Amino acid sequence: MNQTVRLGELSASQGRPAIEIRNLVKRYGEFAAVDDVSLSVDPGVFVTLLGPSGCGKSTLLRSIAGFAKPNSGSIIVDGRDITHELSYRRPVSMVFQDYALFPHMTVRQNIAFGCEMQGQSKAAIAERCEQMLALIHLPEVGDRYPAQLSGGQQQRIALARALAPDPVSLLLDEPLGALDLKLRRQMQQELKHIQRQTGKTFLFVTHDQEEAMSMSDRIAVMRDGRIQQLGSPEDVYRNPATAFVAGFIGDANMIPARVVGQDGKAIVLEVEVAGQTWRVPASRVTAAAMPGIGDPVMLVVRPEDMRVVSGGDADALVMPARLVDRTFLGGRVRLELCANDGTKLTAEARRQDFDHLGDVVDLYCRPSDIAIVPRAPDGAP
Amino acid sequence: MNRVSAAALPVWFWVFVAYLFLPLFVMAAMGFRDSNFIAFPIHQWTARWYGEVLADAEILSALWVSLQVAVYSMVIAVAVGLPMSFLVARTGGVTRALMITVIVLPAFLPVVVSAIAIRMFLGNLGLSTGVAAIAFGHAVGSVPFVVIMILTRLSAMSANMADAARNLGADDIIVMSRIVLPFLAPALFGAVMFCLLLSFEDFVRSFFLGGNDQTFPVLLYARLRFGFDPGLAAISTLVLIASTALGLYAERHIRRRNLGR
Repeated sequence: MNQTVRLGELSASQGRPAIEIRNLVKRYGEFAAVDDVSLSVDPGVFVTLLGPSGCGKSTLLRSIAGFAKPNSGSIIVDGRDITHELSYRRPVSMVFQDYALFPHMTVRQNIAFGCEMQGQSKAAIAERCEQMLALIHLPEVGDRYPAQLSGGQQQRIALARALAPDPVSLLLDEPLGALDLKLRRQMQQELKHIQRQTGKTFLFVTHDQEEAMSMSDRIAVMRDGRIQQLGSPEDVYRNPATAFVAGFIGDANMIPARVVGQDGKAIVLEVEVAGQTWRVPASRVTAAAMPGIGDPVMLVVRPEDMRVVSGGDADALVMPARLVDRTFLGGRVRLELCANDGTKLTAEARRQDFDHLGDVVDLYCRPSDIAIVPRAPDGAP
Repeated sequence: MNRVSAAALPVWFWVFVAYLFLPLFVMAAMGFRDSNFIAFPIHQWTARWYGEVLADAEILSALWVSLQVAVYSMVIAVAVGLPMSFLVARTGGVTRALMITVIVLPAFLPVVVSAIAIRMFLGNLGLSTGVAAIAFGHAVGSVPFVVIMILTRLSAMSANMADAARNLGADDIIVMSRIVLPFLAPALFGAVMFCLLLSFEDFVRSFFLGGNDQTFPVLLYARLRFGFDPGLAAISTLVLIASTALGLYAERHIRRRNLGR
């Protein structure tokens, strides 16, 4: 496998980003599909563009590939401005959701296509094809036609075809979307493995947050044509910048509150749900801007950070809630609760033998597990 | 009911087969009759008619005219139909429906009407009756089939396929020559075969537009006025065998390509 590792070294130039996007705007009529996006991707990093459909993630990817012409902004790949470059001269390869394999060519001819276009010698192309087939663990299928292969195999061929010409970066447009769940999980592992092995920069588009979390080094959460947050999966999960990010990635309890003051390094919050005043460290403001006095905010608490038994922390915040439903998850129990004002809350517990449905219990959470994000004044996230 | 249909339907099928093929068999048999007239029963068999028609200069020249017309009209029809298919394929909505209607219209036009119309305008185009005129006439009738066959194949093409090729470094010419046309090959092959057969069997346009150039069907018609003779049966049988073989080969070829890929 030493041969394949070589791929990475060729394009991973020191110090400069593999892909840099500056203030990119792509409009369709009045609608801005990509709205002033800037993004820098370091070489060899697996970056996922994550967002609901219509958030502009695919358009961003197609702009980089040259299939969509941006209205303004620039795209720099490996130090070269390719904003106005023809699509067939760009040093990036794309993997499509429907694979778009050439049905009239054998697998080997498909994989060879990009190398042929680069004018490589026959011997080099043949060697490259064998390398790629070995990389995707399908050394036997070279002479078959795509229609004779399963969906998962076709998906690997598409990957091999895109990798063969040794692009600076791979652009993957929901490449696992057409696979069933089991195969999908398997391919996620495989894709991540191949990315590590080749050291290529992967820009991966998906709407599946679990997929994004399990595969990426960095996640860019997109909404309405903008990047809402860019960070490691853990960072995005632990410190969401907006209520949208918090809700889109994983489950979250959203507790509306209002800033009423500042007390040293803590922010004083009035929490209507609990009818209490909470003190949370100002460092737990995960939004880009610090809220001012009187601003409405949303407190984000992950279900696993909501406890039904006191952890013994002196500073734990407590609020009463009624137990509405229980779901047995095997090792854990998921509890659905309802606060005094009707806000729905979710908590996780180890055992289910402590209370009955309908009982009012105390919910504990640590201030350090709370993330403070902005809230629109009308209460909409 | 079930029992009746179980017995009756196969019978019905074989009646249909007999109706379809009996005249052809009779015709084929007549070609071997050792007599100047067509009649039953055949007392003496001979192959001389086959030898004679193959040496008949008039027949050979008519076959040559037919062949030229078939090839020319096929080339025109494909040259017109292929770009039109691309245009229709990337158009949507009402415009697309309108375009398809217009393109398909010639297939439903009474052939006599279109033949006369073309005949009237020949002079304006600087053409006289003859091979070129027939070829244009036939092309008019063939274009709809070319477009429909290619469109069907185009609709099975992934929207991303050309983009994928471009992404791998192919310019527009390579995309066309290495991706789109090879992908369309089965449909193109079918369209070519269909055009050739359609042109070869056409009588009305050939008759109206031929002038002194007689295609094979027109010559047969002319010969019929002097009565049937076993020679006509012989040459018709040869043509039947040739065109059936071609049709079967084309059908198999297309099916194999479509299945294999």
